Amino acid sequence: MRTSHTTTYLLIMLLWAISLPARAELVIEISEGVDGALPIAVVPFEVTRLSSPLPVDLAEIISSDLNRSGVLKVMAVASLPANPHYSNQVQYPRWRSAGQDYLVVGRVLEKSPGNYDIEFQLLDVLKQKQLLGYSLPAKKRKLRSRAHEISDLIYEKITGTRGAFNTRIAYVRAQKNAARKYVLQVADTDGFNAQNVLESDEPIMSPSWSPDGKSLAYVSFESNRPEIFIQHLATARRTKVAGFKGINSAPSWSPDGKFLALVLSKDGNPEIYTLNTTTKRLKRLTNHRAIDTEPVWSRDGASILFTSDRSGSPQIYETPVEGGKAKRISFEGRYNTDASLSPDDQYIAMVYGDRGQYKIAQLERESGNLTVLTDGALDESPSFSPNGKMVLYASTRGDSGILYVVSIDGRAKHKLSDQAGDIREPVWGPFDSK
Amino acid sequence: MFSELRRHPRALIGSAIFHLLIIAIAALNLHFSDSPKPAKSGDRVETVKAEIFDQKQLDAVQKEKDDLESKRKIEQARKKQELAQKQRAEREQKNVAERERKAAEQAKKAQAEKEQAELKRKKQAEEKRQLEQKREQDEKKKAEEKRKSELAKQAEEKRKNEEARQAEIKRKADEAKLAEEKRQAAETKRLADEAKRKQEELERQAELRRQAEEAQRRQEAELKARMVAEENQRRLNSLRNEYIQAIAEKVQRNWIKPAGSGKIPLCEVKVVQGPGGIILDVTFGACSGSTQTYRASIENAVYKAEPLPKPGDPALFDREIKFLFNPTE
Repeated sequence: MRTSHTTTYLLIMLLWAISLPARAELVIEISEGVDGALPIAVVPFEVTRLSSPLPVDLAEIISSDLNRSGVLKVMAVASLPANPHYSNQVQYPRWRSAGQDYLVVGRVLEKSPGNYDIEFQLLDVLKQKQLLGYSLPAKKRKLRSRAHEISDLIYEKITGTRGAFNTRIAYVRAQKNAARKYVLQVADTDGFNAQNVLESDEPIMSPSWSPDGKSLAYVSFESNRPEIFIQHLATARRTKVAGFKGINSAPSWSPDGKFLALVLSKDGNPEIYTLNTTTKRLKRLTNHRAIDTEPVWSRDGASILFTSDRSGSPQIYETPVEGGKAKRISFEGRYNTDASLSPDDQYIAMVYGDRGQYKIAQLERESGNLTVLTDGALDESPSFSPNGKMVLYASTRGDSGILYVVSIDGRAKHKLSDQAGDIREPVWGPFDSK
Repeated sequence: MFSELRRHPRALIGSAIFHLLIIAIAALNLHFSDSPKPAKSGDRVETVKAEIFDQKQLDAVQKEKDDLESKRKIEQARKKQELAQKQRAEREQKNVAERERKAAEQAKKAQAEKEQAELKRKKQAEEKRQLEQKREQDEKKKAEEKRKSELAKQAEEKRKNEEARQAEIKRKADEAKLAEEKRQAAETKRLADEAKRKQEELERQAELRRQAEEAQRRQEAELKARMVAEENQRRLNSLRNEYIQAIAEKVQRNWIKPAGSGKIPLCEVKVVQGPGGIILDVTFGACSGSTQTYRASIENAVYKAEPLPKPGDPALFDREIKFLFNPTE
């Protein structure tokens, strides 16, 4: 009897065990993928119906932008399987076969000489549907800006993150054999469309964008000593805000645009101060015999990060704006300087020195994880894009600095075009800096 | 009695003739006895003649005639009366003669009757004697007959007894035969029953054996079916693993994974596939910490893996697949 029961029980268990897997759903674990960016093809826009050729290649500008993001990888023009300009001309299987996830088609319509409508569509190749479709009016001189705007729209549609292509960057270019040796410039994020802000025979340093993107603060040695100026870009009207004895350097705007953080040595040792740009009132934040420099406001405006060698080697510290004790932020490595905060204050991009090599690294504040983003020997001045997805920096090659953009995953590194001379201290402007 | 008669046929015949003679004489005697007859008178009777006239004449003469008639009638009546008186006188004369004659006759008759009576008495005596003789003969005959009848009766009785005895014997024989038949029938039935019982027993045994064999066959079949099912399940499991592996490989091959900063999210993705492995729907479940780009890469990977590989057995096809994107780096 007992045996019979046991047998029955075993039989039931067996049947149960047999039937169980058949009813379980298919669970498939994907443990690896091909590291890379989402493939996208941007077909050159149709421009054949224009009275005169466009001065720019919109598709090329867009492709360059998207490539720099590191999130998208644009198909080479030579490899495009077809050249459609409208979605209804697209044979999706061909693009799918070409390995593309997305496709951008567009055309430029001329309303009147110099006045255009740029029409484009972002298509999902896999689902065979349009994701985006816009018609943007553009004057001839605004074509580049419109192209960056299109890049932003595409980028945001795919990634869900606001694009930062249609913003501006500022940097200092040193030119040999030129009338003016030093030039403060602003340019598009791809390095094109550069415009001079200040030309000088003496060094210009540490440009900083006002939060509204309308002004720059910078250090100029034009009077043979470092002084801090604020210059309105549109009007070129400028004001000297710091000309104290000793060092006046490294200005950084507060998020509300009312203050500058800066370094002054008027009291003997370089210390971090805040300056009310309206009342000119100063407030000293640090008091240490070591060098404290390169202040940068946190995006929440509550604290200031700076570089100090008070521990024996330069490291990143943070101090409350309202005053208090500074605390060390960076610990890994013997050289961490020139911090730039991500828009969400979660990441710090900085120069990370390792055995005589200086690279751009990203420090995740919460975990303390450090990720080295670049592989240059002498990289400097990292600056987050306003969407926090890219870092602009200067890399010294030979005796010249060149601008690079690296994606925050460190995968995509792109040199900005049209660079002559020795370019230093780039800084990425805010969203409003277009 | 008959035997006696047969022994004396002449006596019998003689007796018979004698009897017959006596009977014939008796009959003749009776015929001779005459009855008296009336004597015939010789008186004449007047006859009236009548004539028939014709009516007219008649009528004419009727009166006259009537008168005549009435005269004649009166005459006639007178004559008639005279005649009647004459006749009455004659009749009285006659009657006296008659009475005289009758008296004579009666005396003669009485004499005759007396003689007749004597004769009759003798005849009666004879008859009586004869009757007595006949009675005796009859009695004798009767006795003989009775004896014969008695004998016949006895014989009959004896015969009947014999018959009864025979019948009894026959009845007994029949009974015995019947009993024997019954016994034989019972025996036959018993044997038949026995045979039937044996047959039934055999059949029952055969049925039991058949059932046992059937049960064993069934058990074996079940075991075999279970083994087949298990083998099939093993095969399915194997194919299932291959199926999962094939899908995983194809998706992984197509997954262009954007490097995120920091921790790598674990994403659950529900994929609905149609026949032929076409992607009908991709839905994200838990996927915390992921970027849209990351999710897009996953979704694109699934779509690029379309058509998803077919299972080795159609039974393994599942409309819903749960993917766990869990890259190890």
